[in-house]
Amino acid sequence: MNASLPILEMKAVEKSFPTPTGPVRVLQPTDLEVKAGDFLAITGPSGSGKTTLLMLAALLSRPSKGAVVFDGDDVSSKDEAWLCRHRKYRVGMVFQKFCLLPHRTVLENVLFRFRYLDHDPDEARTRSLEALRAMGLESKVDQPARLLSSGEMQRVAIARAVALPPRFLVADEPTGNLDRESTLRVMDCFKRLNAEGLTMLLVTHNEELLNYCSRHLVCRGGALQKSK
Amino acid sequence: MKRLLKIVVGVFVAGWAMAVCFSCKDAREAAGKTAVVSEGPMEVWSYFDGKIESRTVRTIMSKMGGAAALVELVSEGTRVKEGDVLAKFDSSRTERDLVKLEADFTLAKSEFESLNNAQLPLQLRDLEIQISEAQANYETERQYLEDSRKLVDEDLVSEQELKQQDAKVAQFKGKLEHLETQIGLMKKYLHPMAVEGAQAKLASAEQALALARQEIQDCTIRAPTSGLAAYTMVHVGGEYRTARVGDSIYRNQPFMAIPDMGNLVAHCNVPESEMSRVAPGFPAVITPLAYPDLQVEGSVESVGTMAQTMLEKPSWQKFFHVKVGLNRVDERLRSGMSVTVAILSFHKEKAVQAPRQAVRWEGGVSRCRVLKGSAQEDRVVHVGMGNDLHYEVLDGLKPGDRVVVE
Repeated sequence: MNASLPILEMKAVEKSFPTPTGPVRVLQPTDLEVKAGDFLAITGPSGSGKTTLLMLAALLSRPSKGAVVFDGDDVSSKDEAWLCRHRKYRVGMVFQKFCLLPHRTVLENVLFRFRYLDHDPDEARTRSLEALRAMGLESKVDQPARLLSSGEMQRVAIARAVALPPRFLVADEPTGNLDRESTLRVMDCFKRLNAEGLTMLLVTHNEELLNYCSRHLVCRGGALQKSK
Repeated sequence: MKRLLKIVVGVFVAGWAMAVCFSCKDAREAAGKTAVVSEGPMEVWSYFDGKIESRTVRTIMSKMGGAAALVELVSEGTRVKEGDVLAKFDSSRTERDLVKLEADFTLAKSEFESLNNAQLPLQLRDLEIQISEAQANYETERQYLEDSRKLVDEDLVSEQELKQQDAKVAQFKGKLEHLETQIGLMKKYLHPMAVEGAQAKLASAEQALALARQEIQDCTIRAPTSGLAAYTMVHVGGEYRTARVGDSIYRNQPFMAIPDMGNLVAHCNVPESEMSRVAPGFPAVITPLAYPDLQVEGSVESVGTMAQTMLEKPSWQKFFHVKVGLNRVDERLRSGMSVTVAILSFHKEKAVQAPRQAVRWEGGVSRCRVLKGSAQEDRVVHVGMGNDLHYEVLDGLKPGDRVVVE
């Protein structure tokens, strides 16, 4: 894949949701381009359409209008199976709530990334352990996830997202539940992954994190604006 | 005339001479031809012709399956003891069969034990392990399904993947149920049937082996009792003769008999006119014609209940079969020997007895002439049993009476 080509392109993308009183347009016609190696941050107030934009970028939903082109493929015309497969192989996701399985071990949580993929079990284990090691969690692999601290849980979620190296990592308020120290450790991880070539889209309220990003956009009233 | 006178005188002289002669005879009788009526023991023996036989005759026959060749045979007339070898049959075929049957039995036994102790438990164990694994897999996949549902809510797992996992859970559940059904059927039907089959095979092999061993034993025929070995006639190769070594004898074909010489009886036929002289319990003495000096005591055991005719006798003559048991055994006695059976028909310790010649019968009445001084008295007497010499006098005479003997 040519690094100069954009990984994600949104062309006049709109997103509306049906309601009893008629459709509500959450995202105004928007254009966005994310190039390989970008570390794009999107900030904005609550209800401004950040998460809607992120869901479109992560191939979790389809636009009401416009086109989303991911790695050269127009996803608007693809079926759910295609989206699912590409989401698995190309997109990593990190959420504010971590989304871990508390009764399973750290390793099992990461291995879940491979659950519905045709990967060799040994390779999946190796990749999972490598990802955990990269997150500084090699000593926690056999611990149940519920016994981890919040920062550790988020790093497990990041390890799960990158264990099968994605083309694009989407993070929705990844530090929203973390203390400052943990926040910095998580952001260090993201910085390192970006430096290794991973393209990232970060949605956050915390403008302090913008220093880690290479580009910053603001979402207001369902439309993207360049930061001042 | 003279001649006529001579004749008359001659007749007269002759008459006189005869009268004198008869007169002298009466006197002689009165003087010497008398007997004294006595009192003492009296016995009446009745004599019948008969023969002795063994009370029991053990028939010897082949117990071998099909035809078997005789390879040994005791000589006829040999006195054998219980357990002595009488005959041997060719056992080579049975011995060959026995080797095979022993192998079959050993195989069936090891198969049964292997099945019962190893194969079936291993099958069960293997299935239990499979069930355990299937259970664990099912639980794992079910847990993954639950976890996946949670992650579906977070968009980390798609609905399609959830369906995929759901199908996987159903598949494992189906496999688990199948294995549980399999083990249930195995325990209820397959294993019991296999065990019963192996048991039946083992029992059959055991029975066949036991039969072969019995047949090996049956190859040697031993005397079931002591006695004399007697050959019996058999049909062999179109002939009707006694068996010889080399003959093929069929199963249950008698070829020898062992009369029990330790338990003999005498059989005789008593004319119906003498039926009153025999009764069960009467003492008897048996004397073989071959050994007149041998007398064996015995007693009447039974008297036939139905009159029979005899071939060599007129058909109007009827006889009753009488069996007399012998009290002892003598080595000279053989089954089938002709004997005289003397049965003590009457015995009385104190019987008034008169000589048979003193009793005369007139019109069905018995009479005696009893001396009374120089005269004779003709007296009616009542007699009972009589033997060769005397009658028992029941009435009309008393001991010491002198009677004229005819």
